[in-house]
Amino acid sequence: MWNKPQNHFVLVKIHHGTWKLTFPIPLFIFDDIIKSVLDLVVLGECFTSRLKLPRMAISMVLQLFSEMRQLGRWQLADITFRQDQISISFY
Amino acid sequence: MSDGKIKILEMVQNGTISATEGLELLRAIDDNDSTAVTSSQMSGRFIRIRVSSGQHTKVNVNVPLSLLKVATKLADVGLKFIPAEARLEMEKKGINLQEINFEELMQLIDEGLVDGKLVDVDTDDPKEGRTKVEIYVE
Repeated sequence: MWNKPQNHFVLVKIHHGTWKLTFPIPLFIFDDIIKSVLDLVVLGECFTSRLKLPRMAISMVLQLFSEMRQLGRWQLADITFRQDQISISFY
Repeated sequence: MSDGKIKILEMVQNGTISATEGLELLRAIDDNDSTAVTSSQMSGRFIRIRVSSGQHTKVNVNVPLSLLKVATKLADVGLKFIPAEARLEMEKKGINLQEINFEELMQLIDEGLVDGKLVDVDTDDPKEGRTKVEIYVE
């Protein structure tokens, strides 16, 4: 999973007073996990129709991830309040 | 002029197709081109939310329209997860989430914008200072 040459991250930057925290969240890991869950749900759907809605929701989440990846590098939010700052960006 | 158009004109010149057929083909190509431009513009458009209050607070949120479209579809599916009892209780209070048409909402955002501005609020409070809220599509 980690060895794949993919890079799709959410970068959360928190700036509070004097300290600064930058936290990259690897979205491609979640992407792979969700794909695996989707495979399981599709398999489970052979036995019960109750998994139809979860399968649809998971597929939508995957589509959301794919849309985000296609957008490339962009900033979702940048909030500044006095000396504190939170910024969320995708790359 | 694109290669496709030149090819059509050559076919008309050679007599392979009639002038009317050629015109129809040219129109079809033009339609395809305009559709491609619209979809590419759509993918690059953002809903931008800007809030500035006094000198200390600044909010800058950018949500891509393409992402919002997928998110509304997801919300549509998510609504189906609400238990029937809870839905009934909300309906008694006059809240019917099933009636929200997210697709129509997106269409309204797309069509209802003349200058791209959805919200533009500007207030001046002696205590808080000047607060400006802007929501627009760019």
